[in-house]
Amino acid sequence: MITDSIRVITYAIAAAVLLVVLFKSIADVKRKRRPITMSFFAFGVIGILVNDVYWWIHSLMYPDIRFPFSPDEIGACAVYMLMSAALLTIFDKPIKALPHTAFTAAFSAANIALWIGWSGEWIKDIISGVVFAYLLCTCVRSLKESDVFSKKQWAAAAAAALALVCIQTLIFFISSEIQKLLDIFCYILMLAACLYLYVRALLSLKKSSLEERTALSFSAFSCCLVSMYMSAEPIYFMFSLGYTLCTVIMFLAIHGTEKERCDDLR
Amino acid sequence: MIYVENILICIVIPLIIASFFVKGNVRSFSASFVIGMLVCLVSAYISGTIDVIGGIGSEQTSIYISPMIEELMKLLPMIFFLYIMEMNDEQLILCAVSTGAGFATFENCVCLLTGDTYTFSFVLVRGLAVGVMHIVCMAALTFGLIMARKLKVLSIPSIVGAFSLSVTFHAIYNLLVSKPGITSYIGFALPVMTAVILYISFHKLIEE
Repeated sequence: MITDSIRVITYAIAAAVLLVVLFKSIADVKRKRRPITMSFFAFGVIGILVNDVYWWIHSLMYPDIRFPFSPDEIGACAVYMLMSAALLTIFDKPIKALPHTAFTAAFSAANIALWIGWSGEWIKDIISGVVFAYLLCTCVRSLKESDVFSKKQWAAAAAAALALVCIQTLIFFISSEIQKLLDIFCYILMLAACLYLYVRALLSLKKSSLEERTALSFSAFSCCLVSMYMSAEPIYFMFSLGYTLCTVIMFLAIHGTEKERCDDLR
Repeated sequence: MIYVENILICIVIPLIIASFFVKGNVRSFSASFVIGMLVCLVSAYISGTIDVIGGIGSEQTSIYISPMIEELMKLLPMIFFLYIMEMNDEQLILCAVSTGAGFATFENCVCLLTGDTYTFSFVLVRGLAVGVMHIVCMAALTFGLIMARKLKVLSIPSIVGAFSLSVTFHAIYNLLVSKPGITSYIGFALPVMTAVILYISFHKLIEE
């Protein structure tokens, strides 16, 4: 009952936020303010919104049925592709970060394996996982290109990702008491990572370059998605709300600062 | 027993013959209408095969599988019209809407001819809800493609985005009408309401 209430509240907030972001981004497209990036982003927001509506109706009508590949998976794949496309339009030259991309691809593969382990849905997890891996790799390459992390921060991020995957794998093989403790540790780790990227993305909105702002905000969005897929209800809804709210930061990052808008008008 | 292929032949042949005697938009309309009917038959074959092989059941097939298969099959001619025939916006809308209409017409014909006797209210719902839904899905798909082309962002992500929009809309409709009661009434009203919104949006888009 509590989970149902949280679900309804989460979807209601998400719908309101996404509608505002959508109308604002359409207004920017009409004003020809970074129209290509904003168009991809607006299409992505429409995808999230429609997917949320589908899931809300599905959870109301068939709360206990999970199908191996439901239509909203196509929507999710489209959102990942559109957000990646939006991010790539910011970076003029091809982004090269082979070691980082390889590590992200391995992390994504581990994530797909974990999803399959939890749900047993092979087809769905592999198809959406591959597209999700593309989004993660694009985010990591953009972070590397915009040079927002120091070497120590990259090492910490890699360690956190590795710890998360190892602990989640370990949970399959151990007793339930230790399982709970490890689960709590993972939630704290994911929450810390999301909050760190959130704060960095928010702080970057005022003074950083377009590349830094978009790289950080899109990475915060991806981090919330990773955390959401690794969580059980009701914590799932917290990260779900987190990634919806992230669209606001993403919009502001593309929209630009006051000074940039004035420069564009000149 | 009435075979669906026989129904298709009976409707398609006069349309094909007629299209030789007409030109321009009328020919495009009748050709797309025929394509829509063929797409409907192929989609039914694929969905049916998946249902039989997977042992999913007709209800779950209509909720989860059919929207994906049907919209994918409808997307293919649109890609052909867009990239191979390089149609302009108006032609694209014409062909999309007639493909959707052909699809809906054939589905309705098969439903009425192979089933039992239906009441007038059922026939009305079938025409206004299911019939309009396929046209709306095609219109939404085309709307997405035209917008992407206008904004110079027509690429794989935009096509997948437009496709996902039509699939999700179709899936929402099938979900809502799968259970009797208030949800089914919302489902039946959804295509007509969306059709009105899309009609206004299309006219604005063409004027711009």
